[in-house]
Amino acid sequence: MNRILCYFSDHPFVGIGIILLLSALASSQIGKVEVRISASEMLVQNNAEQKYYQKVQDLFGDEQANLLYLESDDLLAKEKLQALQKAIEKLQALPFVSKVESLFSVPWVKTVDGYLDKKPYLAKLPDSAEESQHVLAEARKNPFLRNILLSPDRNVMAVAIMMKKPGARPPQWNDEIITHELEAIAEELRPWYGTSFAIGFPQVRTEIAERIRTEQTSLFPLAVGALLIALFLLLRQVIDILLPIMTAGFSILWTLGFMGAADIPINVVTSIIPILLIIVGSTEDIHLLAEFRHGQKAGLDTREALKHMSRRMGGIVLLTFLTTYLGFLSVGLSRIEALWQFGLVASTGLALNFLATVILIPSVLALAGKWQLDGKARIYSGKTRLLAKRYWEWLWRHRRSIIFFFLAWTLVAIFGIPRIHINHNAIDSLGENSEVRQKIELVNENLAGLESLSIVVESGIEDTFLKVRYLEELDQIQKYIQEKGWSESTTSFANYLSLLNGAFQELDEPMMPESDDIVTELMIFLNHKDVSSYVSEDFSRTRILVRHSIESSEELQSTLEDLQAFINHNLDPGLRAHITGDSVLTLSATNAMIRGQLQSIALLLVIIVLIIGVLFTELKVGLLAALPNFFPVIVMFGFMGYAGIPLNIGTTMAAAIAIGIAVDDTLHFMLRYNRELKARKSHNSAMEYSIYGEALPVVSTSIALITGFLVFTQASFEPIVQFGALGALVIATALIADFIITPLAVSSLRLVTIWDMLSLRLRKKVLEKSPLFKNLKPWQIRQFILTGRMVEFNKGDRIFRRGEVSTELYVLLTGKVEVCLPGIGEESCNLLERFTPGDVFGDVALFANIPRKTDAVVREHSTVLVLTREGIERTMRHRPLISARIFANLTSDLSRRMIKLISKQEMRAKKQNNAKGGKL
Amino acid sequence: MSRITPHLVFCLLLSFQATGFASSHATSAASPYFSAPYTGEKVKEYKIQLPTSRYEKETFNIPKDCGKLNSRLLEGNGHWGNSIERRLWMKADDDCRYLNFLNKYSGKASQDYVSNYDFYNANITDLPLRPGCDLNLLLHNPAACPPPMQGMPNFSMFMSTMPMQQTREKENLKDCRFENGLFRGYIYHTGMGLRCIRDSKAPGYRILSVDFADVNGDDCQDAVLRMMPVGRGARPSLLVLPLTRCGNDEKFILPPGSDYPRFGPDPE
Repeated sequence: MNRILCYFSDHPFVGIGIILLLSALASSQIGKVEVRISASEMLVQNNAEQKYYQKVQDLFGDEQANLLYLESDDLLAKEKLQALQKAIEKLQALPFVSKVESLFSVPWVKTVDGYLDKKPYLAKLPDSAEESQHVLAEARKNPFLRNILLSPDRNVMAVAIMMKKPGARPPQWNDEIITHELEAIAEELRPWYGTSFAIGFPQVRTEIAERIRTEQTSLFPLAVGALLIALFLLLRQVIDILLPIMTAGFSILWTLGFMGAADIPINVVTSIIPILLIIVGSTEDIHLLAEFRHGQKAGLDTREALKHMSRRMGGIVLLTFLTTYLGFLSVGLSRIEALWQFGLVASTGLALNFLATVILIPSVLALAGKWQLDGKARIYSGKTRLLAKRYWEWLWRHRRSIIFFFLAWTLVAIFGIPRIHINHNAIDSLGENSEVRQKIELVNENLAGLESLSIVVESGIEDTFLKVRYLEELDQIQKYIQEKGWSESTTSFANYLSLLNGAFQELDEPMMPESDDIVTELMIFLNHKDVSSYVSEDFSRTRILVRHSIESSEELQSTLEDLQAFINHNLDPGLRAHITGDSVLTLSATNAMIRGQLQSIALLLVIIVLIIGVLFTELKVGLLAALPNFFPVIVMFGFMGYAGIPLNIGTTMAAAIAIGIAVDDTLHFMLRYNRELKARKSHNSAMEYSIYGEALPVVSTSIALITGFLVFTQASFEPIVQFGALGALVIATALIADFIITPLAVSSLRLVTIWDMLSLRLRKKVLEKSPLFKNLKPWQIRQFILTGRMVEFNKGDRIFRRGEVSTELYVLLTGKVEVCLPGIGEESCNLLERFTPGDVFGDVALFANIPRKTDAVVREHSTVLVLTREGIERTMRHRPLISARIFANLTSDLSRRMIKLISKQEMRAKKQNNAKGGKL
Repeated sequence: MSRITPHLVFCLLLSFQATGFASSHATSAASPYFSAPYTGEKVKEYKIQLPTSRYEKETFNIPKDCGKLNSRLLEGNGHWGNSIERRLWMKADDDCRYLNFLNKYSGKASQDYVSNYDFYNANITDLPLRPGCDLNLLLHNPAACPPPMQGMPNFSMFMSTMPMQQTREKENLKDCRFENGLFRGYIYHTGMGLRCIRDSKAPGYRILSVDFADVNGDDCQDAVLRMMPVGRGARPSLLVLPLTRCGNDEKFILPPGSDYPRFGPDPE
């Protein structure tokens, strides 16, 4: 990454050329992008449930229909019916309409002089009010009309419009055409009917699509404006403000090009990607720019500042991009088409944004980085260093209270989690002020509702449902549903037979045939196509069609569980029942969505823990890094529970995306702390500098993100509003956690990064030969030595002097060092011992805890590994096995050196003795 | 040869005449209404598609194709299809049999005491009922009552379901009759004869059609009533009830020698 950034710093025009080329390519595909809301995009794709329902649909036809809703005190007044007749003729002439059902077409099954008469209820227009009332009263007795096409108070009537499946590609019609054509016909009826409108799922989808289009034009500028304001207030550098907007702009263009090329439409969730890219894409830019400005502030020229930025930030932004990318990609693990598309497009968009960032930022900064129109950022001043110091001191002083406060906060949030309810209903998400929703509520209030499900009962044996015993099984299920009161309309083949039986027996009400013989007789007068929606041709399979108005996924779940339990307990063992249908698929999608998103969150957290664990060579560090990111998730779910925000397609995405974004700041903070810790002796000082160094980029990216997420709260689609609010909440909580939990959590650790490890590879051989590390595995050596620091000395330097306080021991990595007793002159030295790479020195005074008795003089340029008493003690505490081996090695080495010293002394004494005459 | 030729011509003429007569008779023959399959509509003729093998179906126009239908049945094709199709074979066959029943004796009857009677508003007492059986006796000891005649409407179904709380003031002999082809109510027998309570919700009978023909060839015109039970639990099967009488003041009796009455599809 460093090289890429450096390359584009050196070749800015190549970078700009690539950007323009990619933009030209994307522009050629952008025309193919379309807003398309489909019914199936919210459902689980290619699962067994959907395949089963597809078979049911092939056998029995669609459950859903559009309704032309008509309300009037006098529904069947002649002039009204004449107008309605004309409207129905127009409906039938529409190319997308397959069938129109109304009182003009639904047969009034009765006998006239003993012969069956199936003429429609309105075969003849009523001549009087009494006749009208009689027709309506009779129609109410028909279960296929009652609450489906006629309200209980007989003031609301509906016309059911069945749609053809658009076969051609591109389809000859779409939801918008259907909506507008039907609405035009409903409009024509308004002079006659007090209320007249067309309603159905095409209308819902059209409203969603229209809102998406409107919001693309209103929210997009708002997001750009919010980001500009946030960046201006925090950075005050025109280039720094414009660059994130530019990278976002290019990445949005490329992403839309990708969508066009991949035929991925703009739908409820993919519609938020451009705005999300503006918000999220800016974070890496801000970090790069902040480091660039750091370099400039330190006095580096543009070229050097760019190198500084590349060196310091190259790897980190790659890593943070990866975590955010995984956050977005994890949403795509869902089997729901809309979420899958979102995950794919958003992660690709983010990758493209990262590409734009690594090309555009060095290129533009190389050309215009020296322009500092406003001089400097206000927040980056000397005062903030002091502020950071005071802040860390305060944090450390009150750490217990703070930890207690956070634990209490977490506990409160955890208690809120069970209160979360689930709602994946598209209608519910339109908001209470939605005209479409209000129309649906009218349908729910006066008729049986637009939602539906099917209970398929089968035996696998021909003619099963020509037997009263099995028809009664259907009746039993229907009666149970009726008793429970959650459906105003259940219809089945049994109802049709009852209707026919009632007509033949000249009863006032439909009645279930009492014997199989009667059923057989009735079947002579039944055309299978009249009941093909309810029973298979061989009468082995049948369905109960249930219309309902349950919008809450939770309520539907418990209702269906109850129904399933009833069926399991009561259904004849020879029959099998399966509940399916649009509502069931939606519910199954809800469950899959929630399960998928919880899996995404868990997977993401595991990946984060692993990445950071590997990065810092310790799993514990990974777990600690996850802490400030796990906390916001708990807070978010708790908040959802208390605020009554449901789990839906928007809110389930919020956690995974927000964690992916929030972990960037944690990573930046930890890597900064690691760097500072190596440069400074005290972890307090390292923490102060980390807070100081990260305050601006972390706070500014977080504020930009919060502002951006809050833009979504201006949307009119409720899941998106909730997504925005929760996203902002997670980022805000993560910001707090990053500056409170992260510093406290990592302050006890000496962070070792994988880069540190890699840099030590060259010295591996020296270290493995060192007596200090005898019998230690390479990773144990690394763990230990990385608690120290590397210091380079020039020839003649003194590493320590006699009389100095001993707090460190040294391992010579390169060069040559002599330990000697100081002589009379400043530079004189009575050599005690000479050390070569791998040797340990300075340990005696350290462990004796006395001031130095000797001088350590560098005889040629040397690199020394400095191990502090504090570091050694920390190893003793945290890694007793390593420290035990180290101390054994030290003892052995010390003993060897003592024996060597004694031998030397003996030889010296012998020499002196020989010199004195050879006698002791 | 010369003798033979005029004889053949005469025979041919006779046969043509006979054919012509049969044909003209057929056109003037009884042409009853039927319930069309699938729709139940009142029709003079209907088309029906029936399976004649595992993979083949044939369309019959009833009553024109009654002969063809009969041939197919004799060939053993009536068992093809599912239970509904097999029931439809029976229905078509029944309709054809009914037509044959009406047209069995082609000559016009010289005596007619039935066509002037308004069967749609017939007095129940005019119809040949099951020999009277006291309600109490029927309820307490049904075995003491003689069995109903084969194929006769079982009026005791009305008796056994008569609500006991009905007050006697409502009993009326005038109520013991069909009205526009329908009787719904309760009938019971007292020492004074039959008594009825009309009740539109009670079980009853609907007269679907009345056809006139000499069904037993006794030169006395007969009326053939096709009735259907109505009311809760009634089976929508036709009761074919031929009636006759030999004087305007006489009660109707079953025409001697006819195969009917019959209730439901012909089991053959």
